[in-house]
Amino acid sequence: MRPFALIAVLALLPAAALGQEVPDWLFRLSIHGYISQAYAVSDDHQILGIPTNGTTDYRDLALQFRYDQDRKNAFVLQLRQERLGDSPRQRDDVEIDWAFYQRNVSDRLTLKAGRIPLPLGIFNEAGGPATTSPFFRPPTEFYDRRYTSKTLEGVLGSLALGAPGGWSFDVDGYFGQWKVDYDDGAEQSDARNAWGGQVWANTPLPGVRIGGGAYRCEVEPPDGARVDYFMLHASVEADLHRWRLASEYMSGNLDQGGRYRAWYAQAGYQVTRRVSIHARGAVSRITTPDEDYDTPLSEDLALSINYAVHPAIVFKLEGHTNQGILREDTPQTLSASPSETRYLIASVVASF
Amino acid sequence: MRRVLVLLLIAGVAVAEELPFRVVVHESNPVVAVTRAQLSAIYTKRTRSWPDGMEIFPVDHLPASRLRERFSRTVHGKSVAYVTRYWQRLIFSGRAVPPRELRSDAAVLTLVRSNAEAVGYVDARTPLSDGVKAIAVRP
Repeated sequence: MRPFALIAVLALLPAAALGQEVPDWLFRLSIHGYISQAYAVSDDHQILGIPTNGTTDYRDLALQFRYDQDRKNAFVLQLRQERLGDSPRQRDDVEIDWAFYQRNVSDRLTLKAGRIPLPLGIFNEAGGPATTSPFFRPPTEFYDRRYTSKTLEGVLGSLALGAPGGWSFDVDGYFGQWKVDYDDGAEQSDARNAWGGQVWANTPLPGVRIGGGAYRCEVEPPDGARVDYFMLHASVEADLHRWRLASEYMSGNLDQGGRYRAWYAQAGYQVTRRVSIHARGAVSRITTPDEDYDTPLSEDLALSINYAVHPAIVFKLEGHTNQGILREDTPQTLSASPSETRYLIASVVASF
Repeated sequence: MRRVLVLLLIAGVAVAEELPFRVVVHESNPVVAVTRAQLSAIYTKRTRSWPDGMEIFPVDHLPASRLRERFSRTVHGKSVAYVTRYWQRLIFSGRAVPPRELRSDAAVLTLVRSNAEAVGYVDARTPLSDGVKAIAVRP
């Protein structure tokens, strides 16, 4: 951990110093990072790693190094550590989050190879820093790591297309593999032969975009037969003068695992230059193949107030009411009766 | 007399629309003018090459700078906070990184003077040094 902290301190050295005569290679090196640190507490049950007696072991931090060798070639490495309180998904070490090579074939076409952020919806790639999200984390219902992944080990092609009338399109296609959480997340499964794509349509109205995509992968659980996942997702986002609106929907065929559906909507209003308020409702459900169960995994209602002391430093206070079977202090089974849990997260996020 | 009035009005409008910053490039750069839309594309890295194929190296001011706010509202039509969110999304999705940020006009001029690919902006009242030229910004 100590070397990681040292690197972070070095990265925070004043950027202005780079305005002096410096070697060309140093200008081509970019260092960015973020830390999102929280205190979280729940009332009746432990949920999302948040115990009833509270925890400050709840954070997400990353350090990113990018070397743009020239206009055509770039190399990116991102280290990340995520702490999730008492969650069984807790991973202890600093991990290599990304390590990839990027080839800018043209201003419009980019290819990447290696361990790459997976383009999926609004928040999957950039969910970590949370300065792009008014809540500590993007909705777990849509971005449930049992069905989605943050990264892809493989190749990704991205194409930017212009169109008449102020429209433009961002198209991504990918192939590779990733891991998904198994059961309560203490173990992971390999998801192989994963391929998919996503299209974003940027409308003529600045800040408004509509997207959709799909992916398929073969999941190999540690103690079960291989199953095929086929997921469809759709998104709409509006980042307007004072209003920030977002909604996403996901529907997945989990083969023998049944059908998974998740959606959420969130709205935020910029009250003053520094203060904004946000509300979010998110739902996820799973239906077993024989339809014995059509269970709400999670129904989460949340309110958040953000105070931005700087565009890149934001304090957040959010309260959630969750109805479902996500509680972690009892075994999670689809036959369990839903329970209500309220939890609170107070966090600060800084990025550079 | 009427012609003089029209000329005065045009001059007045020109003064009213005068930008609070000047866009600067290396003196060897053949570009003499850019539109605001082109400048926005350069500073959001949607355009990465000068017309002669040379790589563009944009340099910016720090987010807390007043000049940066004026530049952002004039060129992008958005606040610095909005543009910061835009960049954070690109940075932490591994797609691109923002232009290098410098602390002062002097640092911008130093960098532009030493880099033929660079483009920057400085306060309109800042005198330009040798090796740097201002280019026009059109609506």
